[in-house]
Amino acid sequence: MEACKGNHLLRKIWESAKRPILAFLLALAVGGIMIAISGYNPFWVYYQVFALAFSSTKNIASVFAQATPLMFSGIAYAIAAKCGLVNLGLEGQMLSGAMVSALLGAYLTGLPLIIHLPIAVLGGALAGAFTGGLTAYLKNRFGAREIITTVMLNEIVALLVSFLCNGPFRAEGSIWGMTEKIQDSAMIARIIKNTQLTYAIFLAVILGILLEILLKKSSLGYKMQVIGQNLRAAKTAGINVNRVFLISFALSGALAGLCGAAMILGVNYKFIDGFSDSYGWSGISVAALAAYDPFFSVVSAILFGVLKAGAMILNRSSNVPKEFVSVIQAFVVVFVAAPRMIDALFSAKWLKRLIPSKRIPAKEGDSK
Amino acid sequence: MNVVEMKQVSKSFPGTKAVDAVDFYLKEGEILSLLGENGAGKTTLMKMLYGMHSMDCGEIYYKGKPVQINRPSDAIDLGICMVHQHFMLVSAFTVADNIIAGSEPCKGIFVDRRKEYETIEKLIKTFNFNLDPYAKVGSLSVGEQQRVEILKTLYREAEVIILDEPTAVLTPHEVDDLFVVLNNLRASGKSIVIITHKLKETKAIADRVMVLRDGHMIRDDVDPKESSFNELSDMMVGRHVELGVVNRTQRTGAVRFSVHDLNLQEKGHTVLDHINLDIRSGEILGIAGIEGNGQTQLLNCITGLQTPQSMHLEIDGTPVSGSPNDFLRRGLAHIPEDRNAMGLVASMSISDNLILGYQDTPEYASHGFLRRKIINQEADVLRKEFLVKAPDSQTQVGALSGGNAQKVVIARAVSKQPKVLIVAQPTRGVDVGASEYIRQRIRELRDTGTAILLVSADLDEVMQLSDRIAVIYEGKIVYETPADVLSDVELGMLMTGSSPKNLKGAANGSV
Repeated sequence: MEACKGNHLLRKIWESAKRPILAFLLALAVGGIMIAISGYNPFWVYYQVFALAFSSTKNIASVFAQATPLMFSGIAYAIAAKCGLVNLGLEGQMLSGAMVSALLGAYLTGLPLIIHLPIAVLGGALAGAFTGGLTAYLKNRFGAREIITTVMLNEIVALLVSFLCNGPFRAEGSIWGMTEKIQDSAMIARIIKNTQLTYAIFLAVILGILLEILLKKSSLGYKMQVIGQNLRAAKTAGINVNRVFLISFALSGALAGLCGAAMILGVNYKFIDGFSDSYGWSGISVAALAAYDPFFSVVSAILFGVLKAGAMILNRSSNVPKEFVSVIQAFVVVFVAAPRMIDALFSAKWLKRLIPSKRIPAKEGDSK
Repeated sequence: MNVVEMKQVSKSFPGTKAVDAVDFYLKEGEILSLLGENGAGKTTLMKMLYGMHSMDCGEIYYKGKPVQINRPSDAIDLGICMVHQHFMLVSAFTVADNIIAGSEPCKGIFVDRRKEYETIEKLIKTFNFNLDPYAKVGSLSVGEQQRVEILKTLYREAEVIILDEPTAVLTPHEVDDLFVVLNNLRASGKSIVIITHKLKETKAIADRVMVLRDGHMIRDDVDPKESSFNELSDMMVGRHVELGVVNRTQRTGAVRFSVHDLNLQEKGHTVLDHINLDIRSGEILGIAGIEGNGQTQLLNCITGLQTPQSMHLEIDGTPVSGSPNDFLRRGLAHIPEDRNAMGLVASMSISDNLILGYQDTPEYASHGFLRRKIINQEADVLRKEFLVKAPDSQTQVGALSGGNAQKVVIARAVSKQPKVLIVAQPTRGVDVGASEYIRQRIRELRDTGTAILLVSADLDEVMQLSDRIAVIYEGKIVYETPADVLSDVELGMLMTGSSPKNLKGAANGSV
């Protein structure tokens, strides 16, 4: 009986994990084709990427350093997605958080670290929450689709922060648009010296776990899931849908804002125009690979961290273009977004021969 | 002679064997009733004949010759057509346009309009269908729309016509009209299959009955004239079910639920017109009416889903207004008309669905966290009490049959001991056995003093369950009467807008 139960759980996990896993493998294959076209052996490249990523403490630190912003933005996308919302505004929310953190970090002076750092971090989170909340407000008040408004707000925020760091807040004597360096008291400490790995990663992991608990155990999380899975049933049951939308979007935006804060306060120490390596956008791939689960977004961020760090290290010693990682990231989304294609591949005859057939629980017969 | 024969046909869906080695035959010029509960495999069997489902194994013979039917167009070419339960019509098109869509008479690249209307007019005359080919389908009644669907099959020169639950949406009067049409078709040599779970109609129209149960052919040669309702029902369900239990309220108390002066306009049209309803404690008020006469909006308004232009609603004398949550907290429970779209979250467990709407009550949540243990314990109790067939309370609701899923909705509402229950289409798509059980639970709740408003498209259900009946027509309550005063035909007349003065039993009624 116990074994049977375990089996059931394993099957449940497999059922929800098979699509992302196959999507990832397919994306690897597409990335491999690109590598082959560039004149390299994809198997050798992938082997090198994974081997190099774990070859030294410094490289491992680099993996987690790359994973940190992805964790924040991945969780951010996932928490909105659970509520049925498509938050394409992570990039803008991240930038607004980064800018507010950079300004709070630079212009608040004379505060001890224990006060200054939390203020700067919180400021970033609130800025992201505000930007995200704005989208929810537009959705609730005017029925504006978040897919449109988030993308538009991305542009608005990107231009606004670019203006701020080129105009009123440009560092003295700087040619390139950037803000003043933040105070020491606003810096997030590095875990390993001379690496970019900071303590922000713990915040990301803890938030991933907390949001997982929120989603699974709280009545708010329950309401978010009901809304995400059947909006009409949620309305019929009297759930205040608009309020939950607002909370979800604010939460999502806050996490994106934290992503920006972590990059500014931990890695760059100032807001540099165009510093973002699509940290916000990457959240979509990360969350997609995690089946939009906050905690598994942490795991999937590490996987992407391995690819990114490994590719960067490899790029230093050879000419293998590190951009293939972006291709993989993009194709994960494509394949996850095409479940029927994945299912068709899965039900292909050659695969059936490989995987022993599984019984799906029977539909219960009609009642008496 | 058998026009169609299916031999040893089987079809499996993931996890279920929908049709299991069934032999089917249809004689030329007969009306066959394919009888069975929801999920018995009737529709699946016919969809295989129509080419909408592929067969796992088995053979089809048409007029004695083996045929391959891979898609509906193959079936249509042979002369086998199907009228679906949900009509597939374009409401902005005329009757004729709808009929020819897909195989238009052409003149070059243009549709030959003259030929189109000539052909359709001739067709309508031949079969005596009483339709205007120029009328827009959107302006037709449901019964007329169904005739358009049947005409579509005749235009495609169907020899075999399959009708899926043809009477589900019709008034008693329209059912009679349909039977006239079907008799005409039989007289002109067409062979007809009606998929149904209704016994009354089976007995009224069918020449022969085939009974399916759990994907198996139980009997293929029942003579409807020789069998009683109970015999047919027992064959269909596989055990004895007491049909049509009538049990009127013994005691009613004070008015618990009252709605007055409910007016609703949508896009400039009056949808609800001065609705006044009072329901006493321990009373079921049934709303009889053809679908689309304002029932949905009435339900929305009195559950808070829609805010009308004016409404005064009281529960136990206290005015209630606001959002659905305000209504819910005042003790109004709602069993929505579309359980899958409005009442349940298919991907969630039975246990999760049982707290939907009540997730913030102190019973189920403290400090913002769900009290999982209590929720699951209660789910186990309710699942057993309401005979929901599932391995455990963590089973996804989407894996349940219609009847069992509906029992989850009923359990959620009934177990909260509501002051007022608004129940819509409680047994739609639910098998006979579960239907009787659900009605019994509703009556039991009534007997504890709840005021119940019932809305159902099934007039038989309204008549069986209600203590009082109000007829709604074009957004107006046109008649109110105690149960058992009017016959179904009289109610049907009121539902289609006949003046109450034409009724024999009018003396007892009031408006």
